[in-house]
Amino acid sequence: MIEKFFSGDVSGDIGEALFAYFLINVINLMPSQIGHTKPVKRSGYLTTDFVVWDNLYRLTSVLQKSNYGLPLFAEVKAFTSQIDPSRIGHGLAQLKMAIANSTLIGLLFLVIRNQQQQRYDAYLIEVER
Amino acid sequence: MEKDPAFLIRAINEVKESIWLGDYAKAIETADSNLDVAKRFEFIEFENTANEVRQILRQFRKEAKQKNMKNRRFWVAEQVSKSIEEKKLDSQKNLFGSLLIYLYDLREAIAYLSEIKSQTTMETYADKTQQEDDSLQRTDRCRYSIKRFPERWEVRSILDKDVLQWNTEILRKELPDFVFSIEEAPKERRSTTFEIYSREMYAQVVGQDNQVEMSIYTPGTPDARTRVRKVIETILNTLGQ
Repeated sequence: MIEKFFSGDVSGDIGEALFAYFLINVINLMPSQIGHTKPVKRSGYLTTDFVVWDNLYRLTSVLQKSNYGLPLFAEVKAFTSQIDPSRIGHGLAQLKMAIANSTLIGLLFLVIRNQQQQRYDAYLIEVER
Repeated sequence: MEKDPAFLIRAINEVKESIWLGDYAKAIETADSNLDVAKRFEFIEFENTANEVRQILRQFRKEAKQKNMKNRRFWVAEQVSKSIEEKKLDSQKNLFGSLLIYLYDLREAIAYLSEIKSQTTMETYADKTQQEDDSLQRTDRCRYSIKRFPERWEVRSILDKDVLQWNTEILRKELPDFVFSIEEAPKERRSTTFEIYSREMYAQVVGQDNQVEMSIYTPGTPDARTRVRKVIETILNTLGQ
């Protein structure tokens, strides 16, 4: 997992699995509060990867907000070789489309393989309209 | 003899729709009743003609591949056409025969699918409440099937109404607690996609022609089933109006 080269699909699966792990094991959400959505293309962009019902606002421990509208839309981008800024931009655009005309916030979860330290680093970015 | 093969085309479409919904009983009923009608005609002759044309097609395809022909498809079509003419094969009989063979094949596929579904698998012993939510419904305006997965509900429906006639403005009024996100699709496109969400539900709706597919996500609370079913019925009844 640390040394192999992966195709984009496999990298995506690793990133999504880590996001679910983060929500369940770190944030203490129930699996039934997380929806892994089907990719549907709309206006040139795919819908976001997850919808999250954080009814007890547990994510406030890592976000800069004390409350937020629900659901939370989340997009995961994983990089197992070089970081591609255009994919981050694309993820932001997907979230922007999901939260347009609303007071919702989006979550961009970035997973980056750290070759030197043989691990994956994760970053959670809060996205507002 | 009725020369119009339209009834077979309609039957094939109806059977395919029923398979898509998982309504195998209806698919078998449609296939059998139409095959019974077809048996009144000279169906063996139709089948033989269609099989002969298939054989000719296969032979020229093989020849084109062996000779590494350029414009292979065009060459094959030309040779098949000439051959049909030389052998004086009736194209109407070929068409009927091809459709009949296709309907027979579908009938066989449904029997196979039904058999698989009736077998005992690991799923038989899985979460019973989840399976109890799987159902097939028929109303005056539509047929739909619901399948419940751990984190989502999948709905497939055949509406009486085509996607081009959907009125999402009425739906907005029927579901005032939901935010709508509707794709602005070109007028000529025969499909549409929209998403709706509220504090406790998110649904993706994709429609093409008269088919609707929905994926619904909601937190797994005790009232989830009631809430989901209410939204499904509202969406389908309103879009089918």
